[in-house]
Amino acid sequence: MFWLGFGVTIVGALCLALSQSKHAKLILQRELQRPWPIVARGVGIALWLAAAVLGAELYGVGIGIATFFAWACLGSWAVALLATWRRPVAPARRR
Amino acid sequence: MKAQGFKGSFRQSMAWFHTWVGLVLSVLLYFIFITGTFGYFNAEVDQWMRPEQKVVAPEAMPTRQAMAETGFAYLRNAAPDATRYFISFPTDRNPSLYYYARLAEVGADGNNYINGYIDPVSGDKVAARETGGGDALYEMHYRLHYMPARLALYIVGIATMFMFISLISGIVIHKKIFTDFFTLRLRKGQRSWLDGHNISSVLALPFLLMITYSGLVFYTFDYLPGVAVVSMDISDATTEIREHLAPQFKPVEASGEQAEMISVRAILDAAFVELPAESVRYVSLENRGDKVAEYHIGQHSEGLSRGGALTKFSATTGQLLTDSYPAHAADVVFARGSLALHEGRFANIHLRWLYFLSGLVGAAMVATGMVLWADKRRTRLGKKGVAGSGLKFVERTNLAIIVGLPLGVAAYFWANRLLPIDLEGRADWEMHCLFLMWAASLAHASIRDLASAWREQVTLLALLFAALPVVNAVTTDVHLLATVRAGDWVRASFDLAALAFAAAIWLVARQMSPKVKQALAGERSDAAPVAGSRAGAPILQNRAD
Repeated sequence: MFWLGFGVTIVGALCLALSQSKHAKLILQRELQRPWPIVARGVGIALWLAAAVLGAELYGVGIGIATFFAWACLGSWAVALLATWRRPVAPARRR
Repeated sequence: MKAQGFKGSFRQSMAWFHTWVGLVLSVLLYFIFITGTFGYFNAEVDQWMRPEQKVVAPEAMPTRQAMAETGFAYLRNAAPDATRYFISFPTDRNPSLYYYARLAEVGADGNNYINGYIDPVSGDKVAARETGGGDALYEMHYRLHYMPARLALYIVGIATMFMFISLISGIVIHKKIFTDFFTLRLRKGQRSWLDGHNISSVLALPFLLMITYSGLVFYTFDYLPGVAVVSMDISDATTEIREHLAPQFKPVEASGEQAEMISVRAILDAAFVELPAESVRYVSLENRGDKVAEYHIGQHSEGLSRGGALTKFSATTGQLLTDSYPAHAADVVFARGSLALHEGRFANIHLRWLYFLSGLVGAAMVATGMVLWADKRRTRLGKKGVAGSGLKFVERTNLAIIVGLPLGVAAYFWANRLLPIDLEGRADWEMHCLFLMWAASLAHASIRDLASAWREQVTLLALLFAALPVVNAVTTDVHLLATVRAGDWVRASFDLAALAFAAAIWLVARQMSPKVKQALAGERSDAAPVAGSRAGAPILQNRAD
């Protein structure tokens, strides 16, 4: 169940990343059309809430919330690395 | 109207503050993060560093009563005059029975106690090599080394306060905290270091705030002695605080009258009518031999709090004295929760790994901040500018700290396997090896050109960790194959983690090779500069000065 919670948090983080146009462009190679960014944000928040509730159910409120924060921190890292991996090496934009 | 600070706007002032507050004690903070992170696996590192310690399968583990008898029998032999016996039962993190006895007089070694480990099955003292183990590594994060513990406590306290201020000022200056939440652009010179610094601090912010704040809570009354002095009678302050924090541990004065002690087995038999045996963490005998002697039975803590329930029995009559205490005051509940969060003792093995990774992220945040500071100043100089001695010093010490400390840790593990078993002061020499390697790293960074020094030290780090399981296999019989076959996953995980770490470091080392850097520079050749940085300028370029 620990890893289920972690997985849900990572998927939630992915949805939150996709709700931002620059990360959506990186991960999917295209921007999400409206209203999908809002849907992704909603789903992301819902998944994070679900993970927090799952953590509290599994370990009690105190340890559950601490566990959820650990899931969120490391899960977001996983998504950031995914976006980095998808990013072309050369910077695209000129100033 | 915009609020004005001492360096322009409020945000600019905070940026200045963040940079300098962070820089001044970054060396110490990096040290604290790296060594403290090992605390989440101190018992596991201990096991690896004591290869002689046998692992007992759970089904072969004796009952709590039998183990307590074994432990007390050992102590009666080893410390017949001791006034306090303490036995802590094996856990899934530590397979041995821990013993402690407070002696009536100071012993030949200058200590008024003895402690160590007993094999729970045979009852023999674990004849493990002398080593600092995981604890010595972990304790350095608040005791430092080669200095009085109290002085170290204050130094670490100041560094922690700096870190806390630095975190808060970092939040203030980070304009796009949510927009940049997942942003990590690698291979873009200074931009990458800034992203790395931002992402490691933003994503791990809850952990970093918690670990820093709770670190200060640990020694509140040492850091703020005035609170105790002004709020209570100075002579009673320490006692009152201790009783306020842990009323159950209020000491009982010995009566001076001798009395016969009831056996520990009888007491545990009585206790286990109400308590589940597996919930008991330790049993101790206080004021041993005295009429007022008591058995204390401590349980594992439940939930997010440090310290579990305590049940007391009279050691002379066997009567249950008390198993309930007044509820803790709100401040004590808060403090205990904070400390539990800091130590992560409640964490299962999976969460412990996440704690460990979060600790490394914290170290990465400090390290990227250090490199960023130097690289910004190097960028401002441009190609023709000559770096001052201050910048050169920081660049070289950055290497000696960021890579040198992990090199020292690797040397510490190597020393555990290679130093002669009967070497006097062996545990001290393990630690000396850590600092000698660290000093060697600094010397190397000082005499080599910087890019080569980075490449060589990172490569050496990868090699040292990759070869650690090999050294283990050559010098002990608990090598990776044997531990995997025996299901000793604690020791196997250590070897596997060393290999994984070596692989990750090897990838970093590869990025530093001239060929790879040349290829990357080619890919970036048409790239325009990112605002505030050189286009893809490699941070570890070969610097002649």
